[in-house]
Amino acid sequence: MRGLPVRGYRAQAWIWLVGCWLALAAGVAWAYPDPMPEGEWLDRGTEGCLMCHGPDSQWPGHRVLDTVHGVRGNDHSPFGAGQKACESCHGPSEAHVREQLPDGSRPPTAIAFTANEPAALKDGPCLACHLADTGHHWHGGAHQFDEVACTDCHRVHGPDPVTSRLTEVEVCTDCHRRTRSEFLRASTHPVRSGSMVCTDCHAPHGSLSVGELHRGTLNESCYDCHAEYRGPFLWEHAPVAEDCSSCHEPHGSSHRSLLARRSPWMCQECHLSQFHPSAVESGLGVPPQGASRQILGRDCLNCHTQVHGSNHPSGAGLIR
Amino acid sequence: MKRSLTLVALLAAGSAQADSVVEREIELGLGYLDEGSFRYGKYTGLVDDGFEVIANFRFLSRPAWGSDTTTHWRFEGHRLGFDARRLEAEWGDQGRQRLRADFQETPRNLFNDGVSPFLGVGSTRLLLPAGWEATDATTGGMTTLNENLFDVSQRTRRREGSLDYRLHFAGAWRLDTTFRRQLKEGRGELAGTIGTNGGNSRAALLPASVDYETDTFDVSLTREGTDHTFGVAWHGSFFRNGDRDLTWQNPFGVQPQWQPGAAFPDGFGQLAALPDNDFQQFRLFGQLALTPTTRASLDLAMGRMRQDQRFLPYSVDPALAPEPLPRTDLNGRVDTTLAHLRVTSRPLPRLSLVGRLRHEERDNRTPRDVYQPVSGDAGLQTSFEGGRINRPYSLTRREVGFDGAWRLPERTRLTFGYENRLRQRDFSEVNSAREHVFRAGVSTQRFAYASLGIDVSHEQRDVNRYIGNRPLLATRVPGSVDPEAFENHPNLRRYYLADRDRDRVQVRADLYPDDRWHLGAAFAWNRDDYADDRFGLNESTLRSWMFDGGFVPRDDVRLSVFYHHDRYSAEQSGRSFTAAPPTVTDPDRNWFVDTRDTHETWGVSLDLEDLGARFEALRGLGGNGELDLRVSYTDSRSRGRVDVEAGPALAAENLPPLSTRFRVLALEGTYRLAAGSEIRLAYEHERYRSRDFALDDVAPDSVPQVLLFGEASPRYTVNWFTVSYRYRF
Repeated sequence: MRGLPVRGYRAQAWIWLVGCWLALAAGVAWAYPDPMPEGEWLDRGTEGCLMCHGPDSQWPGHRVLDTVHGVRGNDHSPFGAGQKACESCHGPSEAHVREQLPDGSRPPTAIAFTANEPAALKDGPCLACHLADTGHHWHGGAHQFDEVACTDCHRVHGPDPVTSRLTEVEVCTDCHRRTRSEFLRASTHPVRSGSMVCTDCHAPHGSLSVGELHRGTLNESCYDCHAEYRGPFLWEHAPVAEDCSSCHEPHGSSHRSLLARRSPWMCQECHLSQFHPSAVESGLGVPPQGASRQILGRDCLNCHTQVHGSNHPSGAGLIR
Repeated sequence: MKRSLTLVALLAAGSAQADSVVEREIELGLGYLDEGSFRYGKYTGLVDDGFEVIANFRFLSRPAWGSDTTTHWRFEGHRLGFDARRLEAEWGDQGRQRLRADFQETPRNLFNDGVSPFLGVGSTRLLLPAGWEATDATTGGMTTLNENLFDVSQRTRRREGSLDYRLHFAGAWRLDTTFRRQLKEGRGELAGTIGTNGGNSRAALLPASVDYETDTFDVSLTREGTDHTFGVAWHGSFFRNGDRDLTWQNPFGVQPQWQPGAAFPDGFGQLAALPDNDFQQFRLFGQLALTPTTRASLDLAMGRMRQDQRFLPYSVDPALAPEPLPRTDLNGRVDTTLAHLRVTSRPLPRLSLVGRLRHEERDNRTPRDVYQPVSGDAGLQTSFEGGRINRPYSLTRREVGFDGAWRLPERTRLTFGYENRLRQRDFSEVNSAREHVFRAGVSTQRFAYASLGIDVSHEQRDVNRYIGNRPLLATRVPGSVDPEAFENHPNLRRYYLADRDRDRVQVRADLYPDDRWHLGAAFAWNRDDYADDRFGLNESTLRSWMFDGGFVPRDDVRLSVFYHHDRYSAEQSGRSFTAAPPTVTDPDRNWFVDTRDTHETWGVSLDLEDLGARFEALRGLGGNGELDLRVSYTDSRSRGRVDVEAGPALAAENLPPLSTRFRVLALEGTYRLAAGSEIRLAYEHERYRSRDFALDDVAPDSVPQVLLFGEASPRYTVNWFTVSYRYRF
């Protein structure tokens, strides 16, 4: 496979643009509405539900009243004036109250937020109020596309762990388990100590950038806390200006400063000029056999200290 | 700390509010660390043995159920007795406005066992002590080194405060404003180098001052509708460095190739601190629901980075640089553009499509000039023809692609996608590179007791033409070098610019034998494959295995275990060559390096809640007998291996292994004395071991050409006990 038949970027861009809009047109032509649940509304207010879902119930639901969703004074709240209380989220649920299944149980509410229900169904009531609030990148974002439902991360009936900095990381790493292990490596950001959380960098509701970062690009996201490396510098280091992850692993590394690989060999992947940059660096440079300045201490950074860029007129070699 | 507690008390006193429910929680206690360790307190500040105050609080007011009030507030503080403390305050009128203020301090302690002879640490001028002697240009010639070493630590403290206001107005409009100030202060490190080339240069690690200030502003105005969102935003980031330069006295004695006066005691070196810079960006964004199942979103962001810090002179010694600078400052300017169009559609009930088009540009408008450097404050200024021209890199990325998902019956889902990426660069070996990315996956939850997901992808990068000496020619005065001259070996292919095939496979399986058990396994394999007959990175591979399990026999008992094994391996090659032309083509001077980093992490945790319900004896302790226990153990081990092979003309040996091992045992018990009143006891045993050939058994003067700090790789064993009382009222 050596590329597509059409080589010109512009031609391909137009093909894909037209493709996108054809898909869009298809959406117009065969517009299937969201699978909205059908049924009769119970319309008995909060008290109607709490008769069976009170504090002593096997399925208590009253704690939602203590949360941000239980504010009656806000007309936009599920429990506000003109809203349908529990049915605002659970949908028309008269059958849940009036009917009985052959096994004696009751049919579920229109939306019961169980694992068997499609994510799109469960997300419907949330997005009806929060689409703009969560940002406009939800649709097509990584979580939406992977059918991660709002309630997979958020808890509505009670304190929501993912909105607290004390418990957020635990929720995220419940799925992102490899990242949990990376946080335990020798060189990490201060996540384990609680000073940083996932949403300091990532936008879980979708974003413009790779990795669902808050800023438009990876480097812009890093500059939020490391603006000193932004430059522009007189003498730039090209991969630094281009992509911080050329050298760094943001979630954790066993090498200093979150470096992806051990230096000086990582540096030698790109720098192989005459004399010391191309020299073979081996165990002969380590005591007791030897003492290579390219291996011991800060290895290449023993001299090239301004590896992110130099603003010194004599600093072309990034040593000033 | 004192100020924080006063604020807490004031808020507690005045917190009663009609129609609102006020919740207050205070935790006070003491912690004891049996042995101080700089590394243990890397990000918490717990570096000294002895007692520390435990202080946390959380106050909040929310509308009472049934009331018409919509206002709420929250004020909380965490780790107030530590250097890593955080305060958060929020007031809001739900659906109308919200004001939030945060403050956080974060220390970063890297080491405190280094030594250095320099005086004036914290200032921008480092001098050697009066008794300093340097008989030659090596660390061995520093005959009074041991008598003149002072302790050096590398520790910084980041303090940041932010103010965030949101206002909903005129029905569908929303204003968001955020201001954040970050201060980073303390001691870092730089390396000072003096010399005219790589052969005669000498360096010293320098304890450098860190004094950074960054202000960040974000303002956005958004119109929210049921079928549309659009708005405008501004982002500003302004970085200021309190230091402009760092000057140091050369600790090395006379080197014959240096200019007179460059060595100790008269010689000084100077480097430029990271310069002040600004970035501002305007953004337009919008989203439109074209049909009930089709949405389009568009973002357009245009920004500008600027940097005009006044240049330092070519050399700290004006006698070495008679020629003037071409300009007084860089007048650096980079214009950034980001355009992103995304269309999502569900044309069929089972089919979801996402189409993306992205254009990203870093247009570096910084002026180019010829600079006539002074090498390492020790040589004569180069001629105009020998000067260097700066290379302000520009970059363009364009991506177009789509992803689709088709839902099959029985909870099975197929995914597929394609992306076409184009990268264009200047002053680079490769002007243009194109990548094709193919993705596919399948996942199923058709069985109630199991789920399975497999994802594969293939990326192929093709570069148009690799011209190895293009960067060299771009930085030299035209006509001053042979067009065939090269800097890096002509056979080198830099990995981020080279042809590459990247393959990925990810498999995830979960078993749920019954409601109590969960067993999971995952495997990931990534391989980047480069040309084998080129120098540089030839191949890198990641293999990752993961197993986890959970057992929840009852609501109040949870057991979880996990094991994770990652292995990164990389193969690279090179050729050791000198100025002598035969060495450039001599295959006997080839070398090959095989690096392998292995990470193994496993852990187990057990949570037991409300033990008093099952153990009557606990009720005899007083209170209501409710006891929660949590026990966890984590073991994280990394091993690094660097194997080196070399051709007959070279000598090489493998490197000693690198390793880190980090083990934590944590026990925590919470005993409830009464409703809202509990005692918490916790114990943490942490043991850290590491071996690093670059630090271990390396003294400040071990390397003849570099004066090091001589710190050791960290190792510690600490026990941290805490007892605290938590009261909710």
